[in-house]
Amino acid sequence: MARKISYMNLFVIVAAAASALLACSAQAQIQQVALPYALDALEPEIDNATMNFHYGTHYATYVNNTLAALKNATDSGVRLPVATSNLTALISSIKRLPSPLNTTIRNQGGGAWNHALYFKHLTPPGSPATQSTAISAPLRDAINANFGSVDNMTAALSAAAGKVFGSGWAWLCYTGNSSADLAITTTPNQDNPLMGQLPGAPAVSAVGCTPILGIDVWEHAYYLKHGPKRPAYLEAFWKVLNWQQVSKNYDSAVQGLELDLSEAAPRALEAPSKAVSAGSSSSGSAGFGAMAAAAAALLALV
Amino acid sequence: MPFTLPPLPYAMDALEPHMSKRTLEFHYGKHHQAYLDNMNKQIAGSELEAKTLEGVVLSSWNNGSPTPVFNNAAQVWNHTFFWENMKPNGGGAPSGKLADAINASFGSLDEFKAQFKNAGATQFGSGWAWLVADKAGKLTVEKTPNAVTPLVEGKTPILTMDVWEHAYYLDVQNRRPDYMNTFVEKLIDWEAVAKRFEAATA
Repeated sequence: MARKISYMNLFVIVAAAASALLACSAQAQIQQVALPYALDALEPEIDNATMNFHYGTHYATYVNNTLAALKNATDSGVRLPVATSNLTALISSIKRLPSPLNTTIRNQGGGAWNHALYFKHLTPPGSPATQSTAISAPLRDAINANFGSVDNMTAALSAAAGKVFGSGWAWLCYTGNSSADLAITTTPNQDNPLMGQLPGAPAVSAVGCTPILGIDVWEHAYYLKHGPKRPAYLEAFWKVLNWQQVSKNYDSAVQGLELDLSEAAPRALEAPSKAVSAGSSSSGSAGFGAMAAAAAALLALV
Repeated sequence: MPFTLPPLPYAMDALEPHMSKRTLEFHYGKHHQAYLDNMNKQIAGSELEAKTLEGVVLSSWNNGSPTPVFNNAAQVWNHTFFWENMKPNGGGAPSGKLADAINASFGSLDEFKAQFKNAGATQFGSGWAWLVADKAGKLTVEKTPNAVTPLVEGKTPILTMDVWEHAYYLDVQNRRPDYMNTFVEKLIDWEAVAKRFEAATA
């Protein structure tokens, strides 16, 4: 049976592949992750007002300040060791950045990265992704091996989050250590274990690990709804956690890929009018994915 | 003997509209109270119980390697100090020796305000902005993270502003600059600050 490939189909595929390739090579800049849910969709667990401020103002400001600092640096002729479009690489390279850019990237860039992870792994309460059945088999195995059970892990992470004094984050992270590949750690302010052990900072356990799940315990994450009652926020947090996304984060970490903190959901290959845009924010893997999809589509027609 | 919290120097709603009753109910009634309760639990049965609060703060600072007591003790001290340097219908301007000292150290009251607010704005995360006096009457603005206080450097604070998010989030959310303007223009009890200045330079 002969396959008929119309010129139109071929044109569509080639054009989409071309635009994907172009997008991969373009210097896209860091931007906020797009939310796959409305700002009020996490009610009643995380309230609309908090989401408005947290996503719309705090997170936006971290991104804008990061962009401004990078622009300022490149305009001044500062040579950076990593691409300015790669947020993960930037925060992993803080020790190699010149002062005062290193402090700005630590605080503002850290804020941008941490909130990308956070917002991308939330989802409306009651959705299937919030159920523990949404945890992938490899992640479940890792959690059981490291903590005994999912409940043990969530209790330990909540306890760590409760103990953070001042502003900071609690993390479940991938250590890369085959005998104990998941760890719980905390960092102050907008620090992140990927930054390594920073001078003057308190010792970070499992430093260098890759966060796959993060709980923001800055007061702005919960104060409007809960006042000082951080435990109530922590309880609500687990009801809106997207275990599918956490599983994807684990999978990326295990493969040594940067977490995909770009689009909220990877875009499918589409007609040229809705061109595939790769690498919109931090991760090279988004661009790689688009190119791979385009290549696969080409191969499928041969 | 466990420590107790001094009562708030004014009613919970007395700082309205500049600082809401709801904020004070949480800030004094929950945060400050919890620091106290936690500190008391931590020091129960230890020699720290016999010290003054300042003594507990300095002792638990442990020369820069603070013990778990420090965060609670220092926050008890910091918050008591904070309430005392605000009043209903506060703001305005200092007078007398304090005004002279501010002019001498900063050039003008406006310049002091700018530096003080800048300290609050640039304290990333949680912390405090301070006005500190030395024995000669020289004034400097400082900022500290989390529970840290100039006391641990042997310095004498005369004014403080809490920039933990819980100090302002219910009222102005992320707009810390608005909170700081309100604090400086409407809340500072300059007489209380002047008294501290007198004591520091006596």
